[in-house]
Amino acid sequence: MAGPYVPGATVYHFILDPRDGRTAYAAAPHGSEPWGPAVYRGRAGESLKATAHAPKFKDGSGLAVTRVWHLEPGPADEPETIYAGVEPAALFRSEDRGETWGDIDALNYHPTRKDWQPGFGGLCLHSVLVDPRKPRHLLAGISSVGTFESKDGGRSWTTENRGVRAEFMPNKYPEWGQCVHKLTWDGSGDGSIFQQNHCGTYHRGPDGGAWTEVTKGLPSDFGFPIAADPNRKHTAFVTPLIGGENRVFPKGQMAVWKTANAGKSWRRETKGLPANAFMGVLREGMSTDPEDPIGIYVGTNTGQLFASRDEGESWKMIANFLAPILSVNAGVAK
Amino acid sequence: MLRALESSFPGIRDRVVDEAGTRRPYVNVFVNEELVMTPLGEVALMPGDVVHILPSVAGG
Repeated sequence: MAGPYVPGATVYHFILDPRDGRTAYAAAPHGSEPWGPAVYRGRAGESLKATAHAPKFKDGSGLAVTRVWHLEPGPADEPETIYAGVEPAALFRSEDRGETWGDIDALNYHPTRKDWQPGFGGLCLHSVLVDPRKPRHLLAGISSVGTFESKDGGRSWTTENRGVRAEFMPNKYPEWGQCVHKLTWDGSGDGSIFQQNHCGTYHRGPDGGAWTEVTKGLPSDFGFPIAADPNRKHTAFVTPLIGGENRVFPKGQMAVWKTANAGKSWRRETKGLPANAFMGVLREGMSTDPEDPIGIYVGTNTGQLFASRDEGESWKMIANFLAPILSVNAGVAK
Repeated sequence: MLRALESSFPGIRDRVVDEAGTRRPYVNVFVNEELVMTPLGEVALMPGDVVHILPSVAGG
């Protein structure tokens, strides 16, 4: 094991850029918490350095970035493009590997913004999907605000929350306001998407439109990460917790649940995962690698990292005694 | 002062204030050992003033 990198800092997201298998990016404070947000970049396995500039709102907006939550590589043929999701919720794009950033105005100053309210974890834009088939097709997930979609590279956005429950709102199916926890592409590659929400788990088909709730069969509505098998269509993994009021595994048994049919049914996998384990998994705490069969990696908020090499059927702890794990990202290093 | 320091220490302004010009939480600025409680833009510095920029203590 190498590291620690950006020692002492709270690293919200740490990724290996799949486009080259060599560049690592991290979202963390500049040095330490008081000094503002930063994006770090470096060669995987070597030290990281803060880029020249962190994402910033434009002058006069009255807004200021407090934290970078998520980093998402751009299209394969734009190796220097990277997106950042931040708090208070906004999306920025860099075309120079994070050295400078541009506001995605149409989302960041969306007409609904004045009514956006933070969830318990903060008003964060934590999920960014870039369609590998059509790079101008983007989706963004914001806690307590919902999912937004753009088909023109970010110039315009629509709310995409039909079918998603918001049990904490008077109208349980509002146009927006849902508490999205994580979005990820379905490995089908046809544009289908999985969503883990505060209020359930969902799947949206290739033609877009309304979400289908697929929570049935899971022990709860609530969880944070959702990770898909990039090589198997309709296959994804979740780690349900008891609920928002108690963010630990049900019955103290760590479990990863798998669907192979877009959520129509789920299978509970616990082999090699601990019982009497009252802990949880955070939003970026699960990742799949691109190998076939995949490797699946889950990190807990008590500092254990588990891995499966048999598509989730069995697990092994591969690291312990870490700080609370905020981010797990798996890839092939070159 | 922060803008003047920026030429010698690029990025320092961003460490102390955000893009809206607000002092970052947990960053304390002292002038002549007195904690500045007003917005930084309202502070008038005089020749000879000593400025400390320190993070708040945070622990147990």
